[in-house]
Amino acid sequence: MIRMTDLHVTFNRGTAMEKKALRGVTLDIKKGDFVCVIGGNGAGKTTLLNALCGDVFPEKGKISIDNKDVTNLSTWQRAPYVARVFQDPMAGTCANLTIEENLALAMGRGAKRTFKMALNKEHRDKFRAQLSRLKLGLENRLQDPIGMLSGGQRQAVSLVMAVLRPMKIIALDEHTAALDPKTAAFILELTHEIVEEHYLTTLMVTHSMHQALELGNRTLMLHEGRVVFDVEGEKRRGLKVSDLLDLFHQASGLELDDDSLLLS
Amino acid sequence: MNLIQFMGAVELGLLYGLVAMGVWLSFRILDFPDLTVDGSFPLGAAVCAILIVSGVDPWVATFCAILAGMLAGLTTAWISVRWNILHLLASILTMTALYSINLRIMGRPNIALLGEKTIFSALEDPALRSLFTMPFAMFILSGVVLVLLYRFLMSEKGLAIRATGANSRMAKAQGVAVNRRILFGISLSNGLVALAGALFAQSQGFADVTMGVGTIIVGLAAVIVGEAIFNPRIILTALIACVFGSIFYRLAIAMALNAGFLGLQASDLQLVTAVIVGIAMVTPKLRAKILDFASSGR
Repeated sequence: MIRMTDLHVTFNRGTAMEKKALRGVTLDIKKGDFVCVIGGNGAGKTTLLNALCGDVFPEKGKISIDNKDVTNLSTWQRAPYVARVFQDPMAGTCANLTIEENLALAMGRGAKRTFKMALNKEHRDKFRAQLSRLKLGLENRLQDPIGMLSGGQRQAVSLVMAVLRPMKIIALDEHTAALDPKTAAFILELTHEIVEEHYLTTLMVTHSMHQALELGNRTLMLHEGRVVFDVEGEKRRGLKVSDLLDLFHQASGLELDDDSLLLS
Repeated sequence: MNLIQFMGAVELGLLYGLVAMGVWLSFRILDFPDLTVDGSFPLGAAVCAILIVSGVDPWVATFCAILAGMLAGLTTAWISVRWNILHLLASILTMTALYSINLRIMGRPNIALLGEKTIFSALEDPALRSLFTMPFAMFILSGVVLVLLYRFLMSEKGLAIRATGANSRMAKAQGVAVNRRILFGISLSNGLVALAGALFAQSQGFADVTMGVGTIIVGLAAVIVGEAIFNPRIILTALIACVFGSIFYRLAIAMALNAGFLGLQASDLQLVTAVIVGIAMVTPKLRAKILDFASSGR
């Protein structure tokens, strides 16, 4: 179980550019939860995810994973618990390493890296099996640099990389936002399959209200660094985008006028 | 150019192939432009020479030279990573300090190793001695280093270093302690350069405090020339390109200095080097521009 308690994050503290990104977010994610986080630009969605991954340290608050306090652990120290898929397909993979080298790197996430060869036949067989499920023909291109793949293909490989090793939670940072609609749909379907198959605990940040209602079992909305609502289970079933807008209105007393949120 | 000059250029080329591999590791793999090598090359020579004249076994002396070079690299990487100082500046700091340190180590500006026992002494046997002995010995030495370095870069640790330089954000997310990888990678790079310095002192018979001037440019020249010729896509070809780039560069220098009509002398070496590197760096851009012009002209 992931527990975030009263997280506060401020950027450029004490300057004219000061920005309070998170103002006291408390969130418990149960094992097997699939939480979709929505919110407008600057609501704090990505900061919340970065705080979970260790890219941003809160000035106040605590993060624990399975009762282990990870608040002060850096990104690489948290890697055994948190797998991540980035928004930018370029960010999640190493363009000039081959497909198999990228996968081999992910195989070592959270493990001690040794002087043993990073790749051997056993690894390659495993990679081929994992890649063939994508039906993109990548299993025959293990030795191609990953930079030769399209954005969608790279995101698909990133998802495969994320689940090569066990983890406590997978963090998806708007991982379909940079893709065309058809590819985005494919990646979402793949995400759904992989999460179900491995029974993963998931935190997904998204811009799309549709996505936030279709996928997962829980929807969380952030506004100005606070959780404005958090619905799951019965209450969430049958909710429509218009209902989300109403919920937002009730919770914050504001009309939602952020275009980016209505693009769904 | 006669055969003696040719073989001499090949020998030096192979020796500086080690420098090229070190520079390639920092510039290309870790994306950490490191000028420390101008100091770690004479550092390797100084440590090796002073130990040899004090009676230490030459192999031990060479090993100590590698360790000294690694320490120099570690210093640069630590200043840069720990205190968030620009890598170029951090390396200039170390390089500057090393000039004084090298003088301290040697106790004088130069040490002659003529008549001392070196790792090449066994090759002075009249039965073995020929024009090809030293180039062959250098070929074996740089070959061994190349294979070891290749094997390391293909290991789990090596892969983590390559990812650190290529995409450190992704490397971190995959659990790579990127700062430690940089510390180790830059140490390794300078260890290789110091090894080259130690071999240079032993094969040429002296260590001199000014011998490091321009090492970085020579190494970079070899890397760039190698890349221009081989256009390497994989690690193994990239390493081979470093060594052959270094040899071709040496041959080009030897030819330039030998071309009587140019009127160049040995002291013009650095100028010739800078011009060759300049040409090698500009050529790809110029070619792209000409191709661009040709295609738009239609």
